Amino acid sequence: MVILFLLIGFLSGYLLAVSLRKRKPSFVRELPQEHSSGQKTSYLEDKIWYETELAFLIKFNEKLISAFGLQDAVRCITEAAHNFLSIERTVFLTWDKDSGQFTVACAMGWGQGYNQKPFTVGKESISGFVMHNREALVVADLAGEPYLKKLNKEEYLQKSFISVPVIYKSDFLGVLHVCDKKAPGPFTQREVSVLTNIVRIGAIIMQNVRLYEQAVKRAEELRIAYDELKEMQDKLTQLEKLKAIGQLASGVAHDMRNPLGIIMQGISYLEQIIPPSEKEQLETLSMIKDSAQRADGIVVSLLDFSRATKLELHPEDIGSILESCLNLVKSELKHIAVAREIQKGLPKVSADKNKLMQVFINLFINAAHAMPGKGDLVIRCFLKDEAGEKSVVVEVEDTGAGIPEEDLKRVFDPFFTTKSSGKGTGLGLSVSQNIINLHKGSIGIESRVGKGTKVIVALKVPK
Amino acid sequence: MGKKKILIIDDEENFCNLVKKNVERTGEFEVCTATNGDDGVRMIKEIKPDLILLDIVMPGLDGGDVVSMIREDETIKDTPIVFLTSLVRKDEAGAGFTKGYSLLAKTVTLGELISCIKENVRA
Repeated sequence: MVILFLLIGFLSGYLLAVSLRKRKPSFVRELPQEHSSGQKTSYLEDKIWYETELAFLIKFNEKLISAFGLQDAVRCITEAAHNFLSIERTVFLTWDKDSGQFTVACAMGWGQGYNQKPFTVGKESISGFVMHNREALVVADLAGEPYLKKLNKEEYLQKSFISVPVIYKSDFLGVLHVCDKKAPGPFTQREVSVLTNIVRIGAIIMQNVRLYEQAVKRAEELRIAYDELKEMQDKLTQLEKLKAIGQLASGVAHDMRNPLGIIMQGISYLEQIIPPSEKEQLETLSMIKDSAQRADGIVVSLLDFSRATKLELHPEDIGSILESCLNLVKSELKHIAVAREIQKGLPKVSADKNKLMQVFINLFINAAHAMPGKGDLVIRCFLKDEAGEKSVVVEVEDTGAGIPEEDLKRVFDPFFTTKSSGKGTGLGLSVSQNIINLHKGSIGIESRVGKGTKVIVALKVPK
Repeated sequence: MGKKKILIIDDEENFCNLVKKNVERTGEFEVCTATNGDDGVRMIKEIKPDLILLDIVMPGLDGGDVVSMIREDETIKDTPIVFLTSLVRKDEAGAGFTKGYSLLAKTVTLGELISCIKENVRA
């Protein structure tokens, strides 16, 4: 007889173990349909319960619809469950299928409330068990469930709890745990039903929010890709334009130099044969000479423009290049107060010194031309670190007349100039931009009419 | 000791004539002119100049061709050359034939031209 009892006990234990291993327990179906006290509910009680439930779900639904982002939706679901059922703790874990882990997305009544630091739980846990079974798990006392107790990795699951999987269609989104009923007795079917409804509605909204966030992210990616493509296209167009202008400029420049050479030689000859007493003739000749030299300057600019295609790169100290340039244009800047804010110990950048000097001299002369009377020129040079990408930045800021907004867009266009005749060829900034682009750097301009102009050059520091 | 002989080879006749006038006014040089590469090479062999002022871009034989022909001829291969050109930098000439020679822009001042001649002329 004793053996028979032992056999029956062993068999029933085995069957329970098998059913748990199959992970298809039917805890929910075994729940009391009535009060936890065991009394039958009256028609009136039922009606009050359903109306309360309905009113709550409508309110919850309204709140959830206006959720801003996934975290907000998760918080809204957790709060609803926590506030409707009289329980100690509510914890919402979201599932990340890429990493195969759960993360505590929101928690109430546990430690510091839902400000818990996120932590992860793997598949081998009660949450993993719920994910596998895809149905609500109701536990009256964890101590009486050795299989689940063994699985338990979640410290907040201590005694009684309901764990509901959050599923939208076939997508598993997470698990909501409501833990430790405040009132005595087990969880009721009604409580599970309310919780299941909260989670069902929540899952739809969560999925919508996820899809919306994905759509926003995709739209943003598309916008970035479009902007990059547009920038690339603009650069290519600009490059083609520069190439064509360069070829034309080069041809014109060479043809111009021959007659200019003759003019210059003729002037030199006349300078020698006109006696010093003939002041008027010598003055006229001096004017012709100035103009011829100016024309030659334009030719040199055109030639510079046409051949700004190759760089001779060496590690260069930008601070000392700036000093050399300032030295060379000292006389042009004599009416201007020059302030240097050059950071010490800047890293060297890979640059073509002569070409960079051409850029900076051009910027200083532009600034000088913008401040014909007097003014302030500030030259800054500093290191900028943007997400690990280091650049040496040079800012050349003047207190000149400034450039109107409609002109600002065109300042880098070849042959565009705001200067009076004879002061500029309209190639300076275009050549400068070309040189900086060849260095894979960037050049930008900011200006306010009546306040001044700032040109910003950034050159990448090699990693 | 006689004046040093300078030969200028340039297809711009006016340029040749004005350079001749200016350089000769120093009293130190005698300047001959040639307005194309063929005449230039013939005159180099004939007058054995102490310096050649040579243009690069010319119809017919250009500056590069003239340099090659000078180098191939033992009797004239050591003649000093100064390129006087509408190009500004040596790398613009393309081929390396300007290597080892001075290069001046045509719009150079007379002072610079004379000092370059003095620097390069055969002693």
